Amino acid sequence: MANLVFNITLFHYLILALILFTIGLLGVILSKNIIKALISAEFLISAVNINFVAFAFFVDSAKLTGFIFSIFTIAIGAVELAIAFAIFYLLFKEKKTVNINDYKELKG
Amino acid sequence: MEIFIQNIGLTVLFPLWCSVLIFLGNFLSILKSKKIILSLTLLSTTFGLITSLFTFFNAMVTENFVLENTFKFLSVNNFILELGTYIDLTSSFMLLIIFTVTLAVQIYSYSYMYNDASFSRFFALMNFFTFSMSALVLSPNLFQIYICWELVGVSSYLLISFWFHKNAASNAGKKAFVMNRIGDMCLLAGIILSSIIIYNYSGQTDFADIPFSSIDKIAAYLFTYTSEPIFIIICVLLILGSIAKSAQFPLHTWLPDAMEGPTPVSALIHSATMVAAGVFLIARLFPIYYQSSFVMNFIVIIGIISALIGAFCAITCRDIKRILAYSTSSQLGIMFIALGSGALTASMLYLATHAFIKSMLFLCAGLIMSLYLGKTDIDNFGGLKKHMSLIAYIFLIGAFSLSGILFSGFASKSLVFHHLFETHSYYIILSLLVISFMTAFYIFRMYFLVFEGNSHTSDNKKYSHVMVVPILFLCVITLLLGFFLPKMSTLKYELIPVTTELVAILLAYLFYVKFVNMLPKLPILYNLSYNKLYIDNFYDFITQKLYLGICKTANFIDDYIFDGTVFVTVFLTKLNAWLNSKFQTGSVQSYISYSFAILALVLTGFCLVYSLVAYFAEV
Amino acid sequence: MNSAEILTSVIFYLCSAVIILSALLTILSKRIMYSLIFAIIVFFAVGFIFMLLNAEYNAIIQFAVYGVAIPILIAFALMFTSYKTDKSIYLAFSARLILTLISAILFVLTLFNILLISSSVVDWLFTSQSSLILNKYEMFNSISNGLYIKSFFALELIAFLVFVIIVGFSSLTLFKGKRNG
Repeated sequence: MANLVFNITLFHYLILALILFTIGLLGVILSKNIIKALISAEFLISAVNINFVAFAFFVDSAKLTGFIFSIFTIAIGAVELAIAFAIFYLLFKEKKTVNINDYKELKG
Repeated sequence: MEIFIQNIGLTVLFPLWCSVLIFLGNFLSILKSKKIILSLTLLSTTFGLITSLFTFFNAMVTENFVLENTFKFLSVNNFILELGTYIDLTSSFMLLIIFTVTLAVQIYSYSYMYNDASFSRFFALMNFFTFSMSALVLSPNLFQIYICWELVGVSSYLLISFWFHKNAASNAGKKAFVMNRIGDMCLLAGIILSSIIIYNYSGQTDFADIPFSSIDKIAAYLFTYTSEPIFIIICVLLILGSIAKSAQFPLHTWLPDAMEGPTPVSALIHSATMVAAGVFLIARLFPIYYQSSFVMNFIVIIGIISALIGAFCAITCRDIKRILAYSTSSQLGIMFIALGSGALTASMLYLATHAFIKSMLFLCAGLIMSLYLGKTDIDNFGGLKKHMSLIAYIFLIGAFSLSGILFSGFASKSLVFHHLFETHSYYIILSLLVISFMTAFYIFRMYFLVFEGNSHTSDNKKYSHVMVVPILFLCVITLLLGFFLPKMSTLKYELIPVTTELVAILLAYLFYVKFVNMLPKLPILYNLSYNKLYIDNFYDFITQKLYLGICKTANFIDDYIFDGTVFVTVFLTKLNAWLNSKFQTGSVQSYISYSFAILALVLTGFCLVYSLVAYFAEV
Repeated sequence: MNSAEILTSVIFYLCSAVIILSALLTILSKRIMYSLIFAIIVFFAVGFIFMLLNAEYNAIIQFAVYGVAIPILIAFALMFTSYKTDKSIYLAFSARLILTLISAILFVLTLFNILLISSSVVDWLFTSQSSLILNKYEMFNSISNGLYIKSFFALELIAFLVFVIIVGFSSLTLFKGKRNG
C-alpha cells in the first residue's frame, strides 16, 4: 500500500482521468447554463487525453502513437467547441436565454 | 270406414291443419268470424271422435288388435328412428277419451271465450294441443312419445299463460314449463340409456328406438343386460318424466298454479288429457317396470305421497279451481298406486272415469266463475242451489262419483280395491282408505260451501245454455260409463271404502252445514294444509335464493375476474405507455443521464458477474 | 524510495488536487465567469500533467489551444449573451440529480474495480515511472518526427478539416433572417 502512495504508476493517472471525466459528465448533465455544460464537455476531452498520454508513456514509449493521437483529439475538441458555440449563438438569437430548460424542441 | 283406420294419421293431422289455418287467418286478419273458427275446430274433433269410436270398437272386437303405420324419419348407422302411428287397445281407448272430452270442452269454450280478444289464438292453441296429444297417444316408439311429450308441454305452457299480461299467469306458465322440463330431462336420459343398452348389447339394433310393438322383448333385454342398480336408475328416470307430467310429488307444485289459465284449459288439459299422459306412459312401459319389485314399490309410494299431499292441501283450500287441481293430483296418485300394484286395466279405467268426472267438475266451476266475473274464492259463493239447481245436481253427481260411492267412480274405484284386496296389499289399502276419506271430505266440503248454506246474492243469474250442453253430455257419460266397465265377481270388498266415504260426507255435512260457525281450526295441521305443506316455499328458497346466489357469484366472477383480467391488461398497457412517455423529456441532459445510468448499470453488472465467476472458479 | 520518486509523487498529488478541486468548482460555481476561470486552471494543470509524462509537445498544444484559444472563444460567447446569476446545478432533489449521482458513483467504483481486476492480467499497471524528466527535449524531437513524417497525412487532413469547419461555422453565424423548415 505504501508502494502505491509514493510510487506513481499508470493506475494513478487513470484514476485521475476517471475522476475528471466523471466531474465533466456531471457538469454536462446537471448544469442549467448551456455554456457551463459546454465547458464541462471540454473536461471530458481532457480526461481522455490524460488517458491516452498516460498509456502512451507507460506502455508504448517508443512508438509514440498515443502522443500523436492525443494531439489530434485536442484539435478535434477545439473544433467541436467552436461548432457548438456557433450553433448556440444562432439559437440564442431566437431565444435570448441561456437557460437549458428553454431549449425543448426535442420534446415529443 | 276401414280406410280411416288405415290412415289414422289424418285424424292426428287434421287438428294441426286447423290450428295453422286459424293462426294464419288471425295473423293475416283474414279469418275473424268466430263461427267459422268453431266450425272448423268442431269438424276436426268430430271427425276424430267418429274415427276413434270406430277404431275402439274394432280393437275391442278383434283379438290382439295392432296396427302400425310408420315411415323412416332418421337413419344413422344401424339406428333407424321411425315416426308414425301405432294403434292397439290402449291407444284407441285413450284416443276416444281425448276426443270426447275435447269435443265437450270446445263447445263450452266457444261460449266461455266469446268475449275474449284472443278468441282465435285460443282455438288455434286448442287444436294444436289436440294434435300433439293424439300424436302422443298414437306413438309407435319412445322417441316419438318424447317429441309429442314436449309438444304437449309447449301447448300447456301457451295455454296456461294465455292471458300473459297478467303477471300471475305468465309466472304460472313458466313454472309449469320449467318443472315439466326437469321431468323431460330425466325422461330423455332414461330413453337414451335404454336405447344405448338395446343398441349395444342386444343383438337387434332395430329395437334401438324402443318400439311398443315389441316392448316385451325390449323389457327382457333391458332386464338381462343391465345390473340391478342400473336397471333401477333407468326405470326411475323414465318414471320421473311421468311424475313431472302427472303432477306427482316432488314435481307437483305447478298444477295448482296452472289454474291461472282459462277454465276450458284446466278442464281439458290439466284434468283429463295431459296429466293422463304420464299414466299412459307408465302403462306403455309397464312390462319394463313389472320386472323389478323395487320400481313397482317406488311407483306406489310416489302415488301414495302425492295423493296424500293433494288431498291434504285440498281440505283447507279456498279457491274452487285449486281444490279441483289438488284433487286431480290426488286422483292421479291413486292411478299410480293402481299401476304400481300391477292393476293395469283398473288404472286405465280409473283414468277414463276420472277424466270425464273431473272435466265435468271443472266446467261447472267455470260456469259459476263466469257468472261472478271470474272470482274464484269460495267466500263469494254460497247457497247457489237456489239459483242454479241443475248445476248443483250435476255437481252432486260428480261429487258422488269422485268419492267413489255411486256411478262410474264407484265402478272404477271398486276395480282398484278389488285388485288390491286380491293381492293382499293391506298397507296400500289402508292408505287408499285414508285418501278416499279425504277425497270425499273435500269434494263435499266444496259442494256444501258453494251450493248449500245462505245465499249472498239475491238476483237470479242467467247462464248461457251453450255452456250447459257439454256439461250435461259429460254427466250422461259419467252416469252410464259405470255400466260398461267389467263386472266384478263379488262386491264384498266395497263395504269398507263406501262406509268410510259416507262417514266423510257426514263429517263434511256437520262441519260445513250444521255447525258452520263453530268450526275449530286445528293449529298445526291447518297451517300445514293451508300453506301447501310449505313445499312451494322450499322450492322458492332453492331456486330463488340458492340458485340466484350461485348465479350472482358467477356474475361476480365474470365481472371481476374475467373482465378484470382484460381491464388489468389494458391498464398495464396504458401504464407502460405513460411510463415510456415520461422518458420523452425534451432535454438532452436527461437523455445523456439515462444513457449514463444504463452504462453504469451494465458495467456494474459486468463487474459483479466477473467477480462472482472468478470467486466461484477459485473455490 | 528515493527523492525522485518522492518528488514525482508530491508534484503529481498537488497537480491532481488542483485539477479535481478546480473541476468541482467549475461545475458548482454560481457565476459563469468564475467557472470559466476555474476551467482555465484545470486546463493548465492538465497540461502540467502532460509535462510530467514526458509529453512536452502535447503540453504545449494543450496550453495553447485549451489554455488560451478556447477561453477566448468562451469569453466572447459570454460577452454576447447576457447572463444572470442562478443556481449552478439543481440543488433541489430532483430525480435527475439522484440518478446521475448514483450512476456516477457506480461508474467510478466499477471502473476502479475493473482496473484492479485488470491488474491481475497485465503487469505494467503498477510499474513505476522511471524518473522525473523535466528538462529533456528528446521527446520533442521524436514527436515532431512522428507527427510530421509518419503521420503527416493525418496532420494535414486534420488541419484542413479544422480550417474548413471553423470558417464554415463562423460564416453560419452571420446568417440573417428566417430559415426554411
